Amino acid sequence: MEQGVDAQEYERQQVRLLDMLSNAAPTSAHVHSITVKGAQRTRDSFVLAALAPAFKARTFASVLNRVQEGAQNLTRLDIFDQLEITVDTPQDPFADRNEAVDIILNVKEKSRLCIKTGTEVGNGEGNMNGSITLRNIFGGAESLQAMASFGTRTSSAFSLLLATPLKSSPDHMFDFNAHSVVRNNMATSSHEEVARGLGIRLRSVDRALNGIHELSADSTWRCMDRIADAASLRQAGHSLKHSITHTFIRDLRNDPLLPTKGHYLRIANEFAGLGVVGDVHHWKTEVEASHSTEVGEQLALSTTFRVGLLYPFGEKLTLTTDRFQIGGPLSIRGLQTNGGGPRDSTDALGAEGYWSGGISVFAPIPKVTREKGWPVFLHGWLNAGTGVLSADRAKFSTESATDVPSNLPSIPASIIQSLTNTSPTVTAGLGLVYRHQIARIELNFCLPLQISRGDLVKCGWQLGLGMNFL
Amino acid sequence: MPTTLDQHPLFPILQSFKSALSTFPLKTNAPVHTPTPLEKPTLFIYGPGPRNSALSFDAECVVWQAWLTSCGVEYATEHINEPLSGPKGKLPFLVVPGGKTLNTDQMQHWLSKNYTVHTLADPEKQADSQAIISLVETKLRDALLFSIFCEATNTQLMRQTYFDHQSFPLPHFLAHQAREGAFDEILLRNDTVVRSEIYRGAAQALDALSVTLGEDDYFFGSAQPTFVDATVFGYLHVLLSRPVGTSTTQPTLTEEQLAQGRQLRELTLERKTLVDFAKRCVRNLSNNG
Repeated sequence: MEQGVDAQEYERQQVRLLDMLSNAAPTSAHVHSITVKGAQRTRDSFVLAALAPAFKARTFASVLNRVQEGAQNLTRLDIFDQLEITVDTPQDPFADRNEAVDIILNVKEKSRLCIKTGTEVGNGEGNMNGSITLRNIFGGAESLQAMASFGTRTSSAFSLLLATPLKSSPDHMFDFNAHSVVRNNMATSSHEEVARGLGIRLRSVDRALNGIHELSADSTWRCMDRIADAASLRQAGHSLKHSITHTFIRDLRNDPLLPTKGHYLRIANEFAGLGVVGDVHHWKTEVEASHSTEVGEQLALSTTFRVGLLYPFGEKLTLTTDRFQIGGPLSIRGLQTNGGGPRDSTDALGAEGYWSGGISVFAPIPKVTREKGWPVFLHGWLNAGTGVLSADRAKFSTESATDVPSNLPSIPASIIQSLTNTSPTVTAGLGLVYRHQIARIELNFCLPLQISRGDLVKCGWQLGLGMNFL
Repeated sequence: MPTTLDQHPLFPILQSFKSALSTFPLKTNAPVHTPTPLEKPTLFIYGPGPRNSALSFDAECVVWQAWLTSCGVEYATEHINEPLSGPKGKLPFLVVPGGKTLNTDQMQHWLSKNYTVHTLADPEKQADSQAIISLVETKLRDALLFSIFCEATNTQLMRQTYFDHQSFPLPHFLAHQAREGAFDEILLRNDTVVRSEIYRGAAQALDALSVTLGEDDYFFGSAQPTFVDATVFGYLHVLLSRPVGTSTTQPTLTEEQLAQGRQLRELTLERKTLVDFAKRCVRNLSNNG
């Protein structure tokens, strides 16, 4: 009984507060001062910069909105456990008592040190990892993260990342990173790769395009060794790559793991070979677009298309590590991992031009998905795609092959021509999809419909585990 | 009760399912990439070096170029200059048609299986030839490694010949690594690295080679060159043909340092029998190759 009275009282107070706010909203007001309480390490100037737009507000509503936006940005920076805002009448006797307000921020800072360990399975590999993060090291939400991971394909990876927000905004992050990775490509390309590098990156939210821009510059020293097959021996040795990369990502899907509505777009461009330093010179571009829609009440249809082009400048061969790999449960289903595209005996050489596309239909399993609430769906799919090397383009040229020497420098148009003249690998199948909290798991029965000789086909059951499926 | 699998009632269904599966893929197209097949065995070596010669600037590579030619192998050479591409992280290595990669030990086996390999008939001479090979591969190799990788006068030339195809600043780093590697290898066989001792060892080895060869065309009076001739020639060729620092190319170095850089070459030039032997081998190689 008492509870009922409390609830009614609470509701009445809510309504009164809303009335007060809506009555006060249009009245003119301005911020007289902002005080931060409870911040020991965070610089006042940093918090004030996040709330600075509030000083420009001239109505009570806009003051509240701007302060709230600023507070949200501060929360997203992951430095405070608690953040409370109090709006008060000004303490300053000289302040305009009718319009001026004081903003008081009560914060509780998060602990400076964060240590994490874990195991991850996804995108065709498993690893165990650990990281140490120092938060808010200089009082401006700067973080220093040291990470180490050991996995099945990435034998070991170490990285050090110093990140800082620009203008106190989580929308604009700048970081400096140092990385060292040992990748074991024995299973697919008979070599091991060690890559060590330094890079800087600027990550920025674009509200107009509803996406994220990422601009990075990177210098990496790669060393390919432990060559196990003659097909890959020319890949061996050292290479220095200096590159500038721009990536735009727009993700408007309702669920990144198993979307039923929305679209996704990723455009990545890389220019390698700045000046005379470094021996990798290429332009690399890759676009991925995906669209998901509901068909009727039960079915969801998802379409994905990926296309990539690697255009080398000069006569030096591109390296497998820079090329595109196709095939596998996350790429073209029904092919083994890196089992499509140009190959030499057992080795995947990688493609300098590729495309792949897929259509998937998801349907709930009667009496399981809805009734029991298990995130398991029936899945039918059709995948297609192919990849080519520029050295082979004479083969696909419409002119006589004898007129076109195969060692000509590659031209994007001719790679595209080779791509359009090559019959794609087409596979289809049926299976089950389980949407786990951290990854999507697929078990499919795959049937290759059309293949290119040399493709490593997986006819029958195939298990897929990852985040980014075709 | 069915006793065997083929009597099981589900067996015909499984059989027809299996035969239906075997029709996939429905269509197989031409491969997207056809690697150029290797027509003849290819020896991957260091080269072409400062003199732009057909013979490598690396002693071990020259040994195998000479030996394959002596055995009548028709082979191609490729200047890959990248030891990491080899099966043991070393050059030379041979890739035979079919794509198999052979290191030096496997090459010897492959040669004896597929070609007529000239050996010394007398077992005593055979044992002596082994002794000569190991003398070259220890004393002469130590001196050569020291002269190429550790002498200050030759550092620049070493960097240019071995690492100049890499992009800056890798040649400097890799040259430093190679120098450390050379020191480590010398220390495997010696307690200390002392210039005078290493060159004295080389001079004694050269004397021994000169005496053993005597007036003969090839070692141990053989009518045909054997592996010991190829080994001795490989090292002699590099000792004699390798450019050394001079006062014009390296004006910052003292006369004493320049003399140290030339020392090994001069020791070899003093042994006329060996110089003539090397010349004879080059002539034979150019006639056969």
